[in-house]
Amino acid sequence: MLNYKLRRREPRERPPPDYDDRYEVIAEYKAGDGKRPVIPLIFKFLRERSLIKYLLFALLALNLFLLFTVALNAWAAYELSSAQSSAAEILAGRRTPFVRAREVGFAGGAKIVELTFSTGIDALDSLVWVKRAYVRVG
Amino acid sequence: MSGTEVADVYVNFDVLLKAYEHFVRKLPKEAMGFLLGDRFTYRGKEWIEITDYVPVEAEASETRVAPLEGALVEVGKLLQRKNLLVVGWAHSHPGYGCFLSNIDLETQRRYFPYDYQVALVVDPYTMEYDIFVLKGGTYVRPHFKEVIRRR
Repeated sequence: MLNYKLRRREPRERPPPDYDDRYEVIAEYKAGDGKRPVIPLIFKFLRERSLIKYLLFALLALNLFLLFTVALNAWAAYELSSAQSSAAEILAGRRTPFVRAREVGFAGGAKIVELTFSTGIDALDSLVWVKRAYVRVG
Repeated sequence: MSGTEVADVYVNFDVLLKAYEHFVRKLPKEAMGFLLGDRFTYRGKEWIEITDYVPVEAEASETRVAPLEGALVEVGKLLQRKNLLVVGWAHSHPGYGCFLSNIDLETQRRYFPYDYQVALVVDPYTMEYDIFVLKGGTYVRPHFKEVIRRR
């Protein structure tokens, strides 16, 4: 009934795809390993040259950039608020890696100190919304 | 790569995709097809590569599927043209998971009796699939890898 049964041929020697640069192994399953194989449709999506794919990648990149910016700003705010309590020491020359202090004036017998946050990289500093804080010392 | 363990079966992603798309088209009924490929050895270990899926016209319901005689003639012609082997069969289990029923076991024993022939079962609703081989009167999952051909 089925002709293919007759076409049993002996196996030929050939290295498997693990050793072949033309292939990439994307998943591996063994008996009893508990993994449930799922058809990885993501690869179909990734191989298609669809506009939506590029839009999604652009959106993802934008999201990552925004997340990074928010994290950077949170860090800058933390550094500046920490520096406010030790503004006098920073002004006196205590080295702080990311906050610089300088005197900008006097008010009622107290010094007005400007604290400036800087990572040392201009491109990163330009992403920080609040770089300066003023504090009264003395 | 010397530590890489050679699997029993290498299934191409395009085969999975082709079978899945066929099964989705045939929902809610079951559907089936033949897995084409070739068998090889490497350092004494035998392995098979599944490179193509051929849908087979079948008599199908929501719970069982069997190939139509005429459809097999077409598959035979295709095999000769492509110089490939039937390395197994694939069928769908819409909504009831991946396993081999008693009918499936009988189909495997009757039509795919060689030790290298596998059964691929796909649940098109959950996108889960599994590959089985007969062993000692029942079925087991062989060691298999999904591969994708670089472009």
